[in-house]
Amino acid sequence: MEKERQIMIEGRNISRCFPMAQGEDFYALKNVSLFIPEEKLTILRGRSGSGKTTLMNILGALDKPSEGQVFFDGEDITKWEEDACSLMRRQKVGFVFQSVALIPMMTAFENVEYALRLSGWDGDRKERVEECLRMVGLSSRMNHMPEELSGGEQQRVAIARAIAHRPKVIFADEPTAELDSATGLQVVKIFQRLVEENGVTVVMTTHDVGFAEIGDKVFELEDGEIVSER
Amino acid sequence: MLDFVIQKMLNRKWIVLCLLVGNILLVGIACCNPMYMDAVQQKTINRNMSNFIVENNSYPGTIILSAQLKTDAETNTAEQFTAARDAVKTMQKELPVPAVMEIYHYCIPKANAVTDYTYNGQQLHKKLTVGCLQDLKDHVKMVSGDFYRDEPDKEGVIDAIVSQKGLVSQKLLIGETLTFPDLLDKNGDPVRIRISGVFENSKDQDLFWVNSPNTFTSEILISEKLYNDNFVDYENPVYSMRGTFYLLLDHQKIRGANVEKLLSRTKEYVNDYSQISSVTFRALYLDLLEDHQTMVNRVVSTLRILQVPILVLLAAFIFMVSRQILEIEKNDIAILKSRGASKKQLIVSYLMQGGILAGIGLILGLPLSMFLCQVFGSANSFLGFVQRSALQIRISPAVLLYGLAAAALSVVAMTVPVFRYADLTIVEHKQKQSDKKKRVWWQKYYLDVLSLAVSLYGLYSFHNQQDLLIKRVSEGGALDPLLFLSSSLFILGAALLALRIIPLILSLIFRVGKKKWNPAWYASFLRVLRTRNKQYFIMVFLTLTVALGIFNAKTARTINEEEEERISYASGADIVLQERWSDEEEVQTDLTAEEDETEEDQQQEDSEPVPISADDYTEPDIDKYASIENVTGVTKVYTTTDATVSVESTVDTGGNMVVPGGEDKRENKEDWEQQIMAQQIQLMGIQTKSFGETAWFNPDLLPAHWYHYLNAISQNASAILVSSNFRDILGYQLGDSLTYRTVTGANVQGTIYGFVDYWPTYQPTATGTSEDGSQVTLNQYLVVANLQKLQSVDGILPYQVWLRVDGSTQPVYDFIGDKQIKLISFSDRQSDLIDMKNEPIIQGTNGILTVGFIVVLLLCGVGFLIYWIISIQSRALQFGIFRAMGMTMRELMTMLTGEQLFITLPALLMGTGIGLLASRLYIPLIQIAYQTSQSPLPSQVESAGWDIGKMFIVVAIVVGICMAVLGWLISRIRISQALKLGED
Repeated sequence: MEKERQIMIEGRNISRCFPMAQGEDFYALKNVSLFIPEEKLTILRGRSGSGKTTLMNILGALDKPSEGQVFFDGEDITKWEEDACSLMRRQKVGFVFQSVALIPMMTAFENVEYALRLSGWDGDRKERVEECLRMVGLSSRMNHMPEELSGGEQQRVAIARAIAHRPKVIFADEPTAELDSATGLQVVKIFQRLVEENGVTVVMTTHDVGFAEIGDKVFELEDGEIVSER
Repeated sequence: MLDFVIQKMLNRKWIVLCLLVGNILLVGIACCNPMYMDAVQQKTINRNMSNFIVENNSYPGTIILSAQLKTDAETNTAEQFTAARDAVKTMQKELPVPAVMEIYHYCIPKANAVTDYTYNGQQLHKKLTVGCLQDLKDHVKMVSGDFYRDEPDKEGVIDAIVSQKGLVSQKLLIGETLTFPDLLDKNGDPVRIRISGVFENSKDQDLFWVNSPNTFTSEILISEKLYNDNFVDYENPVYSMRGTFYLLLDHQKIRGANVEKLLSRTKEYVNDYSQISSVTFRALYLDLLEDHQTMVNRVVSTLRILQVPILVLLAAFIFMVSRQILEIEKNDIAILKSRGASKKQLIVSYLMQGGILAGIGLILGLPLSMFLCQVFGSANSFLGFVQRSALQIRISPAVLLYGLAAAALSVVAMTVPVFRYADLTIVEHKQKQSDKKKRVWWQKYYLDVLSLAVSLYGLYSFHNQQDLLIKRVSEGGALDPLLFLSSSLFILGAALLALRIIPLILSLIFRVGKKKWNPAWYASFLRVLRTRNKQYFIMVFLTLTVALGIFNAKTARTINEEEEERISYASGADIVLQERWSDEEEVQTDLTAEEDETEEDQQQEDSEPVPISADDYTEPDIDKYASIENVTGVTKVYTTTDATVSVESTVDTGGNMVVPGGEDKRENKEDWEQQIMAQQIQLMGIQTKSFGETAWFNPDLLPAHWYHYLNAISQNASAILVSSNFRDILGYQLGDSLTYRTVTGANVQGTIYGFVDYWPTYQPTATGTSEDGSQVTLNQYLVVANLQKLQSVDGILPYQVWLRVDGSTQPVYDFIGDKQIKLISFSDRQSDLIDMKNEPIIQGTNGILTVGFIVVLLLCGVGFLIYWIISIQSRALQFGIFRAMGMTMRELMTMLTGEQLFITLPALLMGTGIGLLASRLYIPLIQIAYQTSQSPLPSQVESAGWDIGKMFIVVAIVVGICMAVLGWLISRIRISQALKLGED
């Protein structure tokens, strides 16, 4: 039982295949099984095309596996309807994407606030938004539109948005890919702090070998299979 | 290169399709004008021509050259005579319309003839015209006797034939021989002519008989050869003779395209021959075509103006759509540039794309245009159609030219925006992208406010010139095009201005509930408010569509109903007829004798009118009409304009009447004096009860229902209703007694029971010509009395019968035909209404207003689709983010619906408001253009309730279809794929 509680997400024999034009199916994931530990920084590492993003989307209920099951917080989310997945995402999950993924017509503040609106936050939204933006070091630029911010700043707003509603898990898909190494490191540091200080579970994909060191748990993916686990 | 362009187009098939629709519509609309005008011209020419045939019983394509050959030494006109004869051939070459026949008729008028036989011992002397007609043999058959021979008989006697009427009226006998003492043959002996036979026309319908055989009442016809041998010597003419040469043009070949040339040539002839006194030239079609041409000019200018807003909108549409496409293609362009594509290559590739689209547009646009023309032709009201005989539509060179011009315009509109981007590389492009906050050009330069101001100024100045406009139109001029432009400008300006206001209102609503909006609505508001510039395109189109639709509907409705009302009012009842009460001789018309006739007419007019008496007439049975199917009311209406009232009038010292009874309005009273004079009035005798049941009258025209007026005068035999000008100008009061003089000269006293501004058929004013030739408005006075009273004084004089017919009037026609009732006059309100609807200007206006609306609506629909397709395609990543953040599909749809609502609803509301406002402001002025005559009725903008309903239904259908397409598109977007899009 003790061990059960420590597992945030469990993937059982997950396969994901995409029908190809030629008629043969392409397997992006082949029979993958894994545990994501609670309140830890987990890293899915692999080259592009190794299936790490597909795996992460499935774990985060953005996509459904062709075969296998995903237990999120003990529940089999693969059986859920679309709407239930959406509800789960807005309550328990935060996403950070590789490219700039802010809503362009909203300011930094509104982007973060929007996550709170979606999750139905009962508290003072303004206070929470400011807190989150302060956490990523952007309280001075909160009324700027996304296009007026630099790439690193935008990514930090995206993180602030992902954490605003206090999700259990944050999925970050290559959050550092488009940033220079200093900024990238800064972003990763934020994730580490979230795990340590706020007890959030973070799942992050990267192709960068250098980041593998930072993870509490690292899965190495190659051609849709987990080749090593540490 | 071509492969690349086609590939690119296939990749963007939805938008390219929309662009293609725009192109097809552009060509279709552009070609429609010349095509429709051509067809309508053809139709009206044909109709006018056949009306001419029915009304005048003669062939409208006829040119008549009458030449006199005089032998007096000083005025030898042999040269002019032969020139006129030869002109028939040259005219055939010069005129653009082929001839079907030429007829040469020569005669020596009124030659003395002496009969061989004696009557009471005396030879009879007659005056006979000796003539010959070329090719006569082919067109006659002999009733009795023989056709003439081309040679004299052994005794030198020449054969002649005569018409039946001629035989009777000249008391000739077949076989008798006449001697013409004044006509000498080659040997110098008097010519002897024998009547060999009696002829009639060989076929019923024969153009050869421009003048029917019956008109040859005093003419005998001999062989052309003998005529020439004996009487014709142009070198040394001996006999005065008349030559009448006819050239019959094929009127069915008169087309819109050659009317102008035919007219100008014909006018030249008229001018040329007016210099030659011995020759007169007449072309029967001249007046007809001149009227036609005036009509065409008026229709062309009106329709062209009505089309301007549509064409402008179309061009703007294509320009905006291609800009929208470039908006999403500029990434591609920038990438191509970075990869080394030259500016020239880029432009060429877009030119090719434009060329392909415009080409297909041209090919498909022409059939569309033909279809639209048929729609124009069958339009009966706004969005209302009837079955009519199809127009003859053809693709003339002018049509092709319009089509090509439209296609070229479209290629330019599709290529020009490329120049802006062709110079940018990807880096510059990214930099440009961040520079979005500038205002739209029309707002930056306040073009919306400006155009609104200009249009209102136009409205103001037109209002000031209203009288001038009415005058110009009544004189046949076209309405100022600026008036129509002014209304379009108003709609455009107001629509653009609305776009400044709509966001302010939305923003207010947003702020009020900022904290409470659910995530979907919140996102909708932000989207609509923050990316305003992207939506202007669709909002402008939507607003314009609705505004134009309402404006068009109301314009059409007002014009149609005004005309209908005017016709109904003027006709009095569904059918108004008057039987022939006495047998009068019918007058045969003879073209050549026309001059003589007019002289006679003149004389008749000058002579004293014969006093009318009831004894000259026998009253027919009128009750028979009540039994006809569909006839639900019959009434007798006696009406005359020859009655008078003695009026005290103010006359100035010179004896000219200034104003009857109006001396109080004048200042220098000493210059005028009172004089009693007879004022002509229109006197109407009615049977009050059946008149009320039968006559057509809009009860709203009088302050109280008109039945009250009828009831009032039915109380008292001598009660009368009089027109309001008796009160306003002549100073009569209610209850005054008025003495009027009827056509028999009897004086009748009546008591005024009421004043009316309007009464069935009554026109308060008429336009007359004063002595100096200028147009003046004359007051018309009306007295309505009880028919019984009038008949008790005058006896029973011929009256009209008014019928009310529910349903088809055909039974009435059948009845009159069966009973062979002879009518002096007949008018059918229904057929007058149909005639009115068939008038090219009304028909074309209904057509253009309807088609214009449909086109704008289609554009709006297409624009709507383009906007949303682009919007959704470019926001796929955004939707992915929303979904990743936990937004459900339902919420996403709510968000999009919200956006639709915030864009569509205000646009529809604003459009409705603008349309109503524009109608109220401009329709009263535009109405002037359609007033064929001065309408006595008050003009009002019709409410067009159901038309607007129809319009909204159509709008709803189009928006609904667009929504369905969008829903389908959105449902195909997958989050994970959408998110991937963002990763490139």
